[in-house]
Amino acid sequence: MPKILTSFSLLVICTAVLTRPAYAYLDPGTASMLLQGIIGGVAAAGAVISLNYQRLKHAIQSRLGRKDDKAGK
Amino acid sequence: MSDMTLNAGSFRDPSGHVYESGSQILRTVHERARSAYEQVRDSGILSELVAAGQLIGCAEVERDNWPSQLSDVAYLIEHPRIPFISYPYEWSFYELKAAALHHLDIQIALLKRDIVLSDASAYNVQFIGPKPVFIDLLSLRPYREGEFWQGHRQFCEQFLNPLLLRAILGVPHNTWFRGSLEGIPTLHLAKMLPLKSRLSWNVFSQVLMPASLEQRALDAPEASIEKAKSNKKLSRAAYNGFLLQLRNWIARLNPADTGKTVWGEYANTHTYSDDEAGAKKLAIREFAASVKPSRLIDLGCNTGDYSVAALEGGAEYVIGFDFDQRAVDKAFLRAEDQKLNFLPLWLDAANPSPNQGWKQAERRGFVERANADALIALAFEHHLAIGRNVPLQDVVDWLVSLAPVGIIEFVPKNDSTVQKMLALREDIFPDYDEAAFESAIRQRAALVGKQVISASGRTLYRYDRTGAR
Repeated sequence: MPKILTSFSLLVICTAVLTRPAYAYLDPGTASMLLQGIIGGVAAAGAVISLNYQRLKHAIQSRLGRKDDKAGK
Repeated sequence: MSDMTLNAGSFRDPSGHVYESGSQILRTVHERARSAYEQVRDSGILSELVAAGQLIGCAEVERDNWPSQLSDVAYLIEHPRIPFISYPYEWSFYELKAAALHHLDIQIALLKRDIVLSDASAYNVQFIGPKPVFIDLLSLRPYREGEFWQGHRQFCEQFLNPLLLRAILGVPHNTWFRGSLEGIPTLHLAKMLPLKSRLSWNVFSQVLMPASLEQRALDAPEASIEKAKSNKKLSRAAYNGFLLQLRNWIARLNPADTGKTVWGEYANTHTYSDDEAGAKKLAIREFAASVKPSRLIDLGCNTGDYSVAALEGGAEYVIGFDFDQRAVDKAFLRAEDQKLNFLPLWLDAANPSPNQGWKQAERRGFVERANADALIALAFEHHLAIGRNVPLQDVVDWLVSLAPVGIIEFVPKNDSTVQKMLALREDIFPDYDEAAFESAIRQRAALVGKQVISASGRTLYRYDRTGAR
């Protein structure tokens, strides 16, 4: 569910970003270049999150796990 | 060194060309690409990728051994020959997916070493058995700080979009890709996607947004050129982010019409206890053991049962072909799982891959590439002779032309499969019988073996046309 919410939020943000003036059609790769310029930051953030996701998940789980252990005692 | 022939598909890149010289595959590196090649080579990444089997072998040829016509190039590289060149429109979904992931994995590894791929052509990936290998050495060049991913659009059109066609819509990519050699345009795919798929960030960012930008660019006035030129640079993290996003997404894609458990289903839905199948497998094993083909073609390979029997018998390498994309998918997953020297491909035998592309020579047709030592065509001929109305004589003629020796199974008209094919149509095949089939074989080759392998009268015919007829 959080994944869907994240996707939806990004979709809304990028729809807003896309309301820009039209670009020229230089060659078939122009749209790809413009795309990279627009969402490069999101891609970079995604890479950082992706690379650290498992570490973060493990850290959260181990912290919650410890709390649970204490609660159980 | 014998005469060199320029590979008809090697004309786009001014950095160098590929030539065939006898059994050798040679690649020139032109002066304009000398520096980039040397930087890539000296980084050590080439030898690492070659050792890992990710990049085709590359050996510099001593200048003393160069043919005279190449005196003005910077380097001459020799590559090993790929057993069978295949094209993305002949790949199953999982083959295209494996090729896409291979391309991205190489890109991700290269970027860490300050190297990138200059393009993202799916034709630069080939298969040796089920293992993808990157073949275009000169696509590797040093990374320039801040540059955009030049191959992004090509990657989407040649890898991502064909995969999405099957993963989202359940439509195989093969026939569309075959008619559109540069891939499936993002603008066209975007028009077809259902609403549900549009709510995905991946679909939005890699299909809908590029399609929207492309449409805007098509409609935009020329004054926008300056805006495009002034576009910001792309950070290395963002470059890597695009690669990772696509890699993570594509790794999760499966055909919409088969689900995730394609290989598991295979094990549950096939039985190996069938007597008929057992007799056929034994016959194929014995045939392969006696011929020891270096390359065997299995026409109508289905999920690869008899390709495996041929390998067990002693065939070195089997190229299988089937019309059913799901069967090719399963055969590929099996080859991958069992590490077989087996490459299954999609083929409509009544309309095989043609010579096409630039000068109708860029991508070679099936028959030109089908240079095999042996053929098996089991439960196959009736699909052409009855299913597609190809005269029986023509079917035999074509099959026998594909390899000097082989086994062709004849399926008689009273067989339940043929009866099903004729159930709702008029029988317009009065000449379809075993005598006509046998006569057709004898006109083209020596008949060296005949074995009935079912109660309905299915018969294996072994032919040999190596002797003078």
